[in-house]
Amino acid sequence: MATPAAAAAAPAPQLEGDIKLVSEDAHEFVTPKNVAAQCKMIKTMLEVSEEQEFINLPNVKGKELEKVIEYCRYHVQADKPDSGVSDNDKKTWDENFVKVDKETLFNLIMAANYLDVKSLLDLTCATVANMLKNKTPEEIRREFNIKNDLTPEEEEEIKRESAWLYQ
Amino acid sequence: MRFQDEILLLIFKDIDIATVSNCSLVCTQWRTVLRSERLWARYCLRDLSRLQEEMKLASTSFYSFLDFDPTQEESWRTATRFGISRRGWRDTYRLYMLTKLQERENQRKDRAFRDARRAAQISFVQRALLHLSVIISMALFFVSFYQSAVLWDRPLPLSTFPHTRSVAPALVALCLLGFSFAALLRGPYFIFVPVVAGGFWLLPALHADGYMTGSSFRAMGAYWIIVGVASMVPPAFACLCNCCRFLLPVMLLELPVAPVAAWLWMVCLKKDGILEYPWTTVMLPLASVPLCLLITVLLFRPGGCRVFLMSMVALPLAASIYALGMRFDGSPQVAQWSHVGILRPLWATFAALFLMALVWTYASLRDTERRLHKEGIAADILGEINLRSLRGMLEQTGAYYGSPRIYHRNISVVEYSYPAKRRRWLRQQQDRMLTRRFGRSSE
Repeated sequence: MATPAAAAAAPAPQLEGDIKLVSEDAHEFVTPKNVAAQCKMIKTMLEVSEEQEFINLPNVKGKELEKVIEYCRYHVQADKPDSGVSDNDKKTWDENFVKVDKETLFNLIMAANYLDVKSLLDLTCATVANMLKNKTPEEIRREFNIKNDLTPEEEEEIKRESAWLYQ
Repeated sequence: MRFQDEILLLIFKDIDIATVSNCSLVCTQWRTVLRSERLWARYCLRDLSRLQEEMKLASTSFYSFLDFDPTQEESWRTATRFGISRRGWRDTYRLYMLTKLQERENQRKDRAFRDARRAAQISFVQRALLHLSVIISMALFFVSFYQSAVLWDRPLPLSTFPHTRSVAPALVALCLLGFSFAALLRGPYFIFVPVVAGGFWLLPALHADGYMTGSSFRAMGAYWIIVGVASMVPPAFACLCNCCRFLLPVMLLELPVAPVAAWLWMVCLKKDGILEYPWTTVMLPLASVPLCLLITVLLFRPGGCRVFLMSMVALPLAASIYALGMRFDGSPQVAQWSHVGILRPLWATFAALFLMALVWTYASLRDTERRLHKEGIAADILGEINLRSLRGMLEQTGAYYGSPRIYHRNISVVEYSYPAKRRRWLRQQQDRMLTRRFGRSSE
């Protein structure tokens, strides 16, 4: 699993005060601006107007926004030079962080993508990639609740042209 | 659950190639994303350096890699149709994978062939040595027995043979003979040692019984020592150094040469001249041994039953030569033998068995060649086969003509069949060509 430590190690913006983040389902989260600025999208908005008191996030639900803020808060604290948190500790924390149900994980990917938190996006995508390992197409469909829209002829064609991948 | 294409790309960028094949069969969207050049570019950048290293390719084989910066959008715009003949990243990866698989297969075949060849060499030497021992044991047995029984006019039947010290070694020689035959199929490498050593026992025993005295004993003794030592040195060297590479050529040279040298040396020891030795006891039997060896080495190949057949050929041959020697010596028995027609059946038997052995050998050789061809391990042309099949594969992709990189690929595959010096020369040629085209070298 890829560690987001490197990406999260980006210097936090020197922002002071708190900001209120409002989710799609009207949950409000008051968080320090330097934590919220871990999300590039919010950081851009704050740079445009530092005076605003809240930001609406229409594509993120409260549950996922809470997780994203938890992730950002941890990494802001852990990345401080005097925090005493080692890379291994961060990796362990990340592994535990993504131990959530599939729906939350997928929504986290969406949220990380929308809020532009690269390290979280990498972490969640790597977790999903791990879930794909050693699974047959049928198992993958079942796991991700995907409908098979390939015709048998198309499947044969794919198998034929990807024969070298199976060797 | 339906992901956006961008997110799927991010998920797929970390999966291994084996998982890619399964994911392609999930749904149309996944299939489309998994065919994306951007994705395959990532796989190429991730895996190709490792593949190149595994295939022992020069790092210059794909210059575009050096110029390609995945973090720059400009790189993506200009090099999305990267790879052999600009067919794209996916085809490039595919070609690498296929080449790698083929190289692995070729290496496996090459290794199998080397093992088989080494096993065949060891088997050949084993059988040659065993046969040598058998011939010498038999020759010695017949010579000493008939010498004592016929020339000295002693009673012929074994029951009345009075000298136990001579009979016992003869029986031991027979036992060793049987033991050698029993061990022909999967005998230990140095099974010949006790057989040769048996001669050192038989000779002094005969001498002590008074049958082999004076110049005969000295000559036979010297001959036996030379042949015995010469037979043991190369295998002993091979066993000590654990290297059979030079054993076969040495043995092929030594087997006929050593008896002839021993014979010549023995003749030189006798100052009065070659004819002073009795033909029956010394001259012809000794001359027959190199002859038998030459037949063994030059006409026959290793094989379980064929060794037995060769021995069957050697028996009447040795007996015939011995009878001829008796005639030269003026033995009183020869007239009687000729009268009952012993010589003619002997020669006829020899001729028939010799012909049979030739036919058998020819049939076995054809069978071996057919088997080798079937198993595809004719390694002398292994490189040529590789080159041809690889070229076919490349032509299929339309990438063969005019591509310096493909030229390099051919060299890299074929070079496994060449010695180090040849490989260096090929690399120099490749570098020279690449320098001419691109103005840079792999050094």
